[in-house]
Amino acid sequence: MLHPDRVLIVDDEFIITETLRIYVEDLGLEVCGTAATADAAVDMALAQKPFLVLMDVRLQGERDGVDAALAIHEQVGAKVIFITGSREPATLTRIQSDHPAGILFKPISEGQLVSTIQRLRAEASEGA
Amino acid sequence: MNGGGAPALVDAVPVALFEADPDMVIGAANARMAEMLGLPMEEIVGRSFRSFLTRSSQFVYALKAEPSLVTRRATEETFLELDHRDGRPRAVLLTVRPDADRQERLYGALFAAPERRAYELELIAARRLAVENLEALERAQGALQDANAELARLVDERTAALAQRDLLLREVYHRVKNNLQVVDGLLMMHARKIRDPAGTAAFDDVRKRVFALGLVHHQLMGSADLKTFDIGAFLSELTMHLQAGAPDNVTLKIDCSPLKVDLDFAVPLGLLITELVTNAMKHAFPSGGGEIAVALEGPVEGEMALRVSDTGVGLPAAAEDAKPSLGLAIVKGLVRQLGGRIETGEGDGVRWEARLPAPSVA
Repeated sequence: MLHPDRVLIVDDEFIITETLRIYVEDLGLEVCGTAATADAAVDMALAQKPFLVLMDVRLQGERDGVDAALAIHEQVGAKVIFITGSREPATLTRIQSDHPAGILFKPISEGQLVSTIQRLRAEASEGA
Repeated sequence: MNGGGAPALVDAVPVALFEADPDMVIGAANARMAEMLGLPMEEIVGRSFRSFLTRSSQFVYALKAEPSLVTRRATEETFLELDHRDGRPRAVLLTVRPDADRQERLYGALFAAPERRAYELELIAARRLAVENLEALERAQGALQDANAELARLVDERTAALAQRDLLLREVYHRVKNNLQVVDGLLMMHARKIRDPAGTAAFDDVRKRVFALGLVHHQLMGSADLKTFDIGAFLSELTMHLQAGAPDNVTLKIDCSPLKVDLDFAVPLGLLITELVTNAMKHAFPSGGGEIAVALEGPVEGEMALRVSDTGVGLPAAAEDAKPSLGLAIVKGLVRQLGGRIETGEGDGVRWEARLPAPSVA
């Protein structure tokens, strides 16, 4: 069972994870952790069972956000919003094949993130 | 040979005729044969045919005539040269057939073929020319292949260099966007620590400007040449963002025809529109809502027309005398940077109209 108020934030840039944390907490949600690598993200998602992961594509370490999101989708079932600076077709194709709940391009605005999260929560409560 | 019904004919025909044994030793000949050789008849009869030929023709005879003379006792139109006594060789064609009843008796004829030599030389020359042409063609084809290979190599090299350039540019734009996200985050965090509403508003203004810069790089990253992009897509994303920060009862409209632009035009234009729209949001609707319309038209005669108008309350009367705002200073500076001019007029509300030189993008 996933925690419907928990969000995991994955980005290797501290200021960006903190920015996203503020946006998420302003929505009344709990940030259950932040991770800078794909492996840490998967471990944290398994331990914390968040309903949502905000996922950067480029991360420290060998595996990237798309790898992490695939593992989290299979092992945890959390929804993943990709937040990426890239527009490379190859990257976008990989993201598309990875069950994205949303794709946002940096620089993102608070409004974009909030409306995407609210849409996902509304869909989740309709489905429940 | 001199017997038979028509001895005069035998000597009169312009053909040398002879009779020989299987070894081609001459048994009899007509007068024309003696003439062709410049020899008296007694020096002809009893000699081998081969001995009447020039040295080079003796080789030809051995190669081309003798094999068939041995096997079939015949040869057809073998081209030879008779070693005439006067030293000038006589070109002839040799044809030999065996007697129908007595195979050991051969009949031969020599046709004078003075043109044949020239014809053969022409043929040889023509063949040599053909071979030379063929060789030249092969050389040209070889050169063409080399040139093509060189061209393909150059194209590969350029393609690789371009791919490398694209990769680096994408990396740079990626980092610019990431850094602008960091800058935006820092501004947001600072803004939240400020209690003064004017201070918060100032931070918000700065964040909008930063966002406009980030959006330009986002467009660049998505463009095929990483240099130019459609201003229409950029402006609709920009206004969508500005709309998100506007009160619900203020609507933002954008009207823009497609136009290819680069960084040098899009950055100041994006900032300019951000300023004018932000300004309208702040001052046009002190109570209630309305509409802000952004239109970019042109190019007409090398000029773009940018109009930002609102349905608000209009400019305050004291605006001309008041301390010029930072926003207005930015607007004027950006218009100057773009090489244009801007005027304000009043319709329902405030109406800004800028004339800007159209960007020259290939």
